[in-house]
Amino acid sequence: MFGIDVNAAAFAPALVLLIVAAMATLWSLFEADGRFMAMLALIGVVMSGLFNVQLLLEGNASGTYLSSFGLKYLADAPAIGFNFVILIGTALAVLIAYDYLGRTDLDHPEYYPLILLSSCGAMVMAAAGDLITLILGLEIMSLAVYVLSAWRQNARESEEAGMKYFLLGAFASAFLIYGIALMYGATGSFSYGSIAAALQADGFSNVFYASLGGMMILAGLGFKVAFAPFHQWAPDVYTGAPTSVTAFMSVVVKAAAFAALLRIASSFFTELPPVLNQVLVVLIVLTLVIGNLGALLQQGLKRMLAYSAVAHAGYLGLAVLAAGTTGTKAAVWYLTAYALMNAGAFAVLSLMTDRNDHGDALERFAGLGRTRPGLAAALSIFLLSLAGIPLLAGFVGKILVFQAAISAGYVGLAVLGILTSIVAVVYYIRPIAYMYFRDSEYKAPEIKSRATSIAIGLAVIGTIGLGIFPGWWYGLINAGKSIMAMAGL
Amino acid sequence: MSAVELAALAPALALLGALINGLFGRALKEPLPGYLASATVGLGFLFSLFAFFALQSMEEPSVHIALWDYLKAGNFDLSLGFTIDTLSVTMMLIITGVGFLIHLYSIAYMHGDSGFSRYFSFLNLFVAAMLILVLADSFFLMFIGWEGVGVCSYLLISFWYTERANADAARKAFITNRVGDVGFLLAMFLTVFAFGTLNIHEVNELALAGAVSGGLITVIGLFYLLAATGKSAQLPLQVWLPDAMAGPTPVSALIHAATMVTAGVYLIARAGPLFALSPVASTWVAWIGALTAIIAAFAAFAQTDIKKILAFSTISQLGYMFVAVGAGAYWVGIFHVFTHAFFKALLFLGSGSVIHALGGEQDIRKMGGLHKHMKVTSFTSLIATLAIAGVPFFAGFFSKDAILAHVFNSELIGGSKYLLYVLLLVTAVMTAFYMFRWYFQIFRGEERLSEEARAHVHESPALMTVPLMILAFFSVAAGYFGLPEFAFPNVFSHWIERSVEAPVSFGHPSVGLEWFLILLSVAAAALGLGIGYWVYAMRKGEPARGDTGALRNLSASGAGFDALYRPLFIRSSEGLASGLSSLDSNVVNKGVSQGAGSVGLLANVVRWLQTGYARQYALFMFIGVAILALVVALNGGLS
Repeated sequence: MFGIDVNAAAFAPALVLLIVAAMATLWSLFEADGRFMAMLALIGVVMSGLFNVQLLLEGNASGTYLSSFGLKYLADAPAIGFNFVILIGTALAVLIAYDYLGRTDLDHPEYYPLILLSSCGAMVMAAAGDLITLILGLEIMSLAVYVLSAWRQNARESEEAGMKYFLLGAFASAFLIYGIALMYGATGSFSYGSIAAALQADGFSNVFYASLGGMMILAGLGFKVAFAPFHQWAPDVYTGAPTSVTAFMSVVVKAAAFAALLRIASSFFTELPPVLNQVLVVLIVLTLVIGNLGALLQQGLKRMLAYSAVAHAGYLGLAVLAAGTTGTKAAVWYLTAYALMNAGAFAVLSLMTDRNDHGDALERFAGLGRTRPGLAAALSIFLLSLAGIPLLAGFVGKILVFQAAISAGYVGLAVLGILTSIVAVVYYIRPIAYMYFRDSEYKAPEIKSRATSIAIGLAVIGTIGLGIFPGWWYGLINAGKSIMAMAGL
Repeated sequence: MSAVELAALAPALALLGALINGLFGRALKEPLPGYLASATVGLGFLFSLFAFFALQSMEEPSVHIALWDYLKAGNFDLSLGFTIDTLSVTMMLIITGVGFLIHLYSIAYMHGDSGFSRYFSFLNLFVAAMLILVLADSFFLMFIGWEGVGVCSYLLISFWYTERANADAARKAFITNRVGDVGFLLAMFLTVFAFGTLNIHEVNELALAGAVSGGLITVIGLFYLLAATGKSAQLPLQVWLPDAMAGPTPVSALIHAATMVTAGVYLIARAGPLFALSPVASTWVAWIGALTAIIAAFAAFAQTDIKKILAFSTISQLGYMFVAVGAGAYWVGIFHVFTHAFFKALLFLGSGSVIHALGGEQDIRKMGGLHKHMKVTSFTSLIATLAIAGVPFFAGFFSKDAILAHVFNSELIGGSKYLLYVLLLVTAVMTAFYMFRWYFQIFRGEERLSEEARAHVHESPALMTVPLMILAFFSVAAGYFGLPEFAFPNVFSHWIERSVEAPVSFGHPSVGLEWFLILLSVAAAALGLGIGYWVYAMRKGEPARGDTGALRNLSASGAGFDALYRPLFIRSSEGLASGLSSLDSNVVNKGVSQGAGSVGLLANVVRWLQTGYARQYALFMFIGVAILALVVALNGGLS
């Protein structure tokens, strides 16, 4: 056509989400029922998932993967894996929102199209084979999330969250775009493969600009994944945003940003001077320490989970360091587990808080083990999994990233990761102690929601199932390599 | 399925019991959950017995049962499987045998408790996890069992959670154990790095074949030692065990005396060949054991709680086991695990019987003269006391003497072995002394009961006394499996060494010297009991002037470790766990002045940075990027 290949099968999962989002937006002119929109969104997610399964099975069977637009859009093993993470996160977030929005007077039909658009952007980010596609995906994803964070229009925290996220996000995007410009200036190319080739070439003279550009790109993406010191928005935004949105962004946004980071780390990042790797190491150290210590101090479960999300970015950072070898697979696995246990925890939280998301203080969880045993058991499983207790999914994730980091030579960082994960046990186990070992003076609201219960049930099954049979999922995402690795780039 | 393979069902049975009691327990009437739980463990014991007899006649006394491939990530291969050999079957017999008796005893002990079925569900879960731990064919599966028993221990210590102190004790135990778990995790990652596998048998074989340098083996060994000190309550992680006595007494007997706390000894024995190749790591094991043994024995002197004395005594006896495996005498370590399981479980169950009889009294100063009220408890406790004190012809004598003799003759741990021998001998005197005090203050001398207790006192029901009698029988009989090798047949050493073939050699002194060493052990026990008799029977009780002595306070405080750790790891008399939990109560608002220690200070800095102003966050981001740009410019530009 225009001298480029268009391979619709490669981007079908994202396209489906886009089409359903557009349809839902139009439909919302006639049909304002939020639950109807939610069902539509779920159908979109399932269809997208089916296309993704198709991609996975064909890829695993043939050992080759699709791409489109001349290696600008890749549907390789990592991209397919991340698509699954994004879809799991989206599905759980939609199920959480199903009753939650109506209950909290947030039920506007535009909610679900925005969620789908954001997921679509996340998929584009995960599939990006060049920096322009990356920034396109990032903005599609982020703009929708900025709006969603401020969804509760009459509450100061929510407006503040959206505002803060938008301002700082714009700031971070500026760094990212500036970094891309520098990188283009230095190498004359946007595509990861060509950048790597240019950096490897003999007589490459623009090392200084390339490394400055690489650093800026790292900072911009570091903001999205909440690496310290670019993490400060995260606790405030996660706390202020409606819980269903927090569940969504703590999983989907993080997964997409890590997908981009991993792809960069496995392509041209290692060709840059070693100081950039050291910068990344410093960021990870800070993230592990600050995230875990911050979580230690929180009195509210929502904010504790926000800091815990920062801490998990640190553990995933260990995988980024080993992106060239086993790190990417470890990260996909980790994020799958993380999507289930983290969204699961937020789902439980959404049933515990009042209309303005207030009332997540630990005291309010006292005695939950007796008043609502099912809810308490589910939350305990999610928290224990987040803490990395064996035979739950989070444990395997941690083992995989530590193993990846150690085999890539970062023994010291892995030790720090193991040490901080002990600190983490303290704050994850505290809510459990409240639920089972204290008696309540406060009566939890008797909120019942079938959709949210389904979300919790699925997340529990996933967390336990992946914890006992991790090999199955690892085998599926294990097959095949990144397209760029196959092309020898 | 052969008789040996049947044993692999034992953990599944216990797990099934835990599930039934956990899910439907509340619907069952009271004694039923108890009998159900006992039956699953009893059946497990039968299966273990089958395996025991089947193994006798087998050429290659080891059966491997593959479970499933957990995870394969490159060369990082985690497949799960069980190894049934003489070592694991011995542990299984202890766990299910003693466990079965303690389950039965619990039916009477927990009578009328509102959490009756919950209790048995946890207890069964513990047995399942412990069986997985000892059956594991790889360090990874062992770690899963290791964590599992930790979780069950946490659940059972805090079983009566309405008292805050119990929940705090549970958290202290859990978090202290997590410190040990870091050692386990690091050791595992290093093992994969060095050996390329986590299968214990393969690791041992590769180590013996010289595939890995001695330095690396030492590092790996030391990390496994750290793990072992956590679970087995050895220095420096011993602080949690005395507090763990907050749990129901049968739990103390099963988990915190007979089985779980011996996991560290088992780990080192399992990896015996690995440790045998590193004299440095082995010497560390032995020294940690010896120091723990004597310090804990000292701490037992001034305790007044009937169970705390036993807790410190357990720590001390575990120290003996560590010295044994440190000296390379792996079968001896397991032999002491074996005999100790009987007499220590008996001591705890005897205590439980006393506590039960007195309506909850645990202070030995308010006991005395109970012999005439509860003859069975008193006689069986006396047998256990004589066994632990090392009186000849009782089980503890044989295993303790074997430890002393093997330390004296070990060629693995170098010249310090004579000092270790002396330390253990002194500890033996101390043990006899404080155990005499324990028995005499409870069962003999004048009655010091409160009115309430006097009205209540009675012998316990048969469901409790029959297990006591059975354990008392084995507190004598168990010793005859491992008679001194130089003069008598010793079946235990041959049995265990079929599974653990470590290249450790021991000196063979003259028969006369061997007999002299035995004489020394006997003298130590006699001396300790004699001093005890003089202080408590002849001089009628505690030396009054000692009540405020510095030494006495040091002993009463468990040798002062809690006081030492308090400033080191966050304030808190209850240790790390509750120290951090004190942040619950808004320490945050009180600022740093509360002396929350280093972690608290750092955390407060984090909080101070988190002001909530977008402009400040933007500034931090900008500063961060600027610093990074500077670093990159300075380094990257010049490269």
